[in-house]
Amino acid sequence: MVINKDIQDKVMTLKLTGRLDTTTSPDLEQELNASLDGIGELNFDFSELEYISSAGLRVLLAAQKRMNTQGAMSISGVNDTIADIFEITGFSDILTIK
Amino acid sequence: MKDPETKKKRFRGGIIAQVAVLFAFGVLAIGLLTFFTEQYISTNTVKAQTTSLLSDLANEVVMTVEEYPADEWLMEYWYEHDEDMDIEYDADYEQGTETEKKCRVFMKRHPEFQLEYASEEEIEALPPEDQKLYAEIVYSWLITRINEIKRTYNISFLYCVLTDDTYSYQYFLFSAADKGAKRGTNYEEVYTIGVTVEADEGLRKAMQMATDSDDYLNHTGKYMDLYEYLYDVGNQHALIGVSYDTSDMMVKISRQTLRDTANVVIGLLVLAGLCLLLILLYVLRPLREVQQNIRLYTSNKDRDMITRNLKALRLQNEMGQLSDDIISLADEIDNYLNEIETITADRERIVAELSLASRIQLDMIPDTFPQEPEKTGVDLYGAMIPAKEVGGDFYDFYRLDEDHLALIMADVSGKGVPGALFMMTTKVMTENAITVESMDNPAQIMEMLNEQICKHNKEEMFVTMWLGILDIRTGLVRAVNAGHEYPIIKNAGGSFEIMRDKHGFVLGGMEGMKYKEYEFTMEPGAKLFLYTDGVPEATNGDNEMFGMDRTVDTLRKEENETPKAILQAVNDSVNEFIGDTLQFDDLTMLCVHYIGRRQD
Repeated sequence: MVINKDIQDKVMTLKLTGRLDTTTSPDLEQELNASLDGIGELNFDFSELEYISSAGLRVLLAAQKRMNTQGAMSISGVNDTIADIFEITGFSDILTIK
Repeated sequence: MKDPETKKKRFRGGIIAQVAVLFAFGVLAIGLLTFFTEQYISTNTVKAQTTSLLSDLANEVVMTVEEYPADEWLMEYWYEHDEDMDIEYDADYEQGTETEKKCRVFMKRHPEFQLEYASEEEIEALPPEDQKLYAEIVYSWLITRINEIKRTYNISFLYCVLTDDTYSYQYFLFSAADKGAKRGTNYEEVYTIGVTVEADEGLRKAMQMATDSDDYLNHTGKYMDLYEYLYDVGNQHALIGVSYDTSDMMVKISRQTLRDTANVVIGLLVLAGLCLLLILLYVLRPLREVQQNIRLYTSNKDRDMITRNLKALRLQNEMGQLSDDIISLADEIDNYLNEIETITADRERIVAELSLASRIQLDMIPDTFPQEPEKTGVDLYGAMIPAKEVGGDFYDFYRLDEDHLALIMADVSGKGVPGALFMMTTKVMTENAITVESMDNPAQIMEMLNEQICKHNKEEMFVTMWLGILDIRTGLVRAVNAGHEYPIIKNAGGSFEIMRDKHGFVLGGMEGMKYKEYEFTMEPGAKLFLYTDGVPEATNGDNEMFGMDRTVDTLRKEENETPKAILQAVNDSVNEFIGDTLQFDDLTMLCVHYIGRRQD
């Protein structure tokens, strides 16, 4: 998985390419822990993301919880597979999916 | 592996052979150098000595000629009367000679005349026949003298020649001969007076150089020729020629050179032999001892033994240092071995503990299934195939009372030991939460579970769960889905279909989540298939997922089989799909066949 980071003022956009699973989620978790300080708006671009596993969902949940306290988080470009996963797990209820 | 014995021998031969080859080349080079240097120096020394000798010799001949006050007159007279003179060559004085007779005749006629000290004027005063007699006597004496010189110095040729400015010929005025040598005018005879031969290029040059610079040495072939300029006789140049045969000398030089070279080579060979012996004794033998000890250590890893053995060798110099280094190395290896032993023991313990943990976890999952489903009204079968040693999935089923059966399928977000620990906690909580009292309100059970899990969840793990309470009498199922996969159901007479049920959020994700209950009824003969995402998301080598379509297709093919056979078929189908790819996620399934009770 490749993470492209773009920070403009307090808005951070992360574009993920590949698969967000058990082996790659720690990378994203590390990236978020390192750069979320002072961020008011977190946007995920999932247009190049193929798959997300429960380990990836865990990282997203942690990010959502943190952004609930310091601003807002949204996800865009979600494909059908990932949309199904969000639907099944109920994540679509707590995430802002554009 | 190669036999160490042959390997060692080849190695030892290596150094000795390399040094020996080096020595061989060195000895050869030094031998050749010695040979050529000595030959060069000897030849040049002998040549210089010979030149000096020949020069002295020629001077002696010149002095002999010049002893006669009338030498120039004599030379000219001999030249002009070479055919008229009656000359006695190579007279034998012991036998009495013609020349002695001539002397007596001359002295009778001129008693006051001193033959050896006669001046030109005194000779000119003589009558012509006595002039001739005088010239003949002196010529004979001169020949005798130069014969002696030739014999004394053992030279090949000694002669006096005349030549003109063209240097194209040699006119022989007198030549020395050994006793018994044949006099004549032919080649290979000792020339008599008046023999003239053509001079070749070398001779011409030699004679010209001698005339211009008093003397000249010419070395061609085996002869060294020295020409000494005397003076001009008429319009011709008189030259004394001396030839020395150097072949004997050269043979001597070669022999001496060879002998000396042989001595040098033998000396060097002895030295080389000593060097090789020293290498063998002070390098190779200790090295072999050290090597044998290293090999022994390699096989038995006994540090004390190699330390003891190497110290016993008492090696000096660099070998001693090497030996000390090896002892230190053995110490280090020993430490590492101990360390590795500890690490290995730790790892083995961890592996053993993991395997035990895995068994404990598996023991938590029911593996006893209804034996007489017709009596109980429900047949079911569950399977969990963990991807790693321990996984995070589980299923559960148990009777709450005579008529109610709890069915649970859950998937924890983590894997490995953390996943397993979380799964155990969740399973125990779930079991405690579902009771006869609470079973009528599954949504509340979920909400309670969510609160409990959230309370003790700093690691932000979560679990997806499908919970159903089956009323065995009626086939009614009251279910709640907390972020879990859609159940797949087959109604009596129908086919397996995905049931897109109402979904709540995963458990443990967020506090205060609300869950909604739903109901469906299983007719006798209906089947319910519950699973975790390991089934549809099993991935093959091309990164393709097994998917819901394949799952449903497989179920449909086996829809009339028992739950056990259905699970086996799904498992086979998934394995066939992923091929050699490693199973990444747990594969957990539960299949329920509602038979229904006979209404007695």
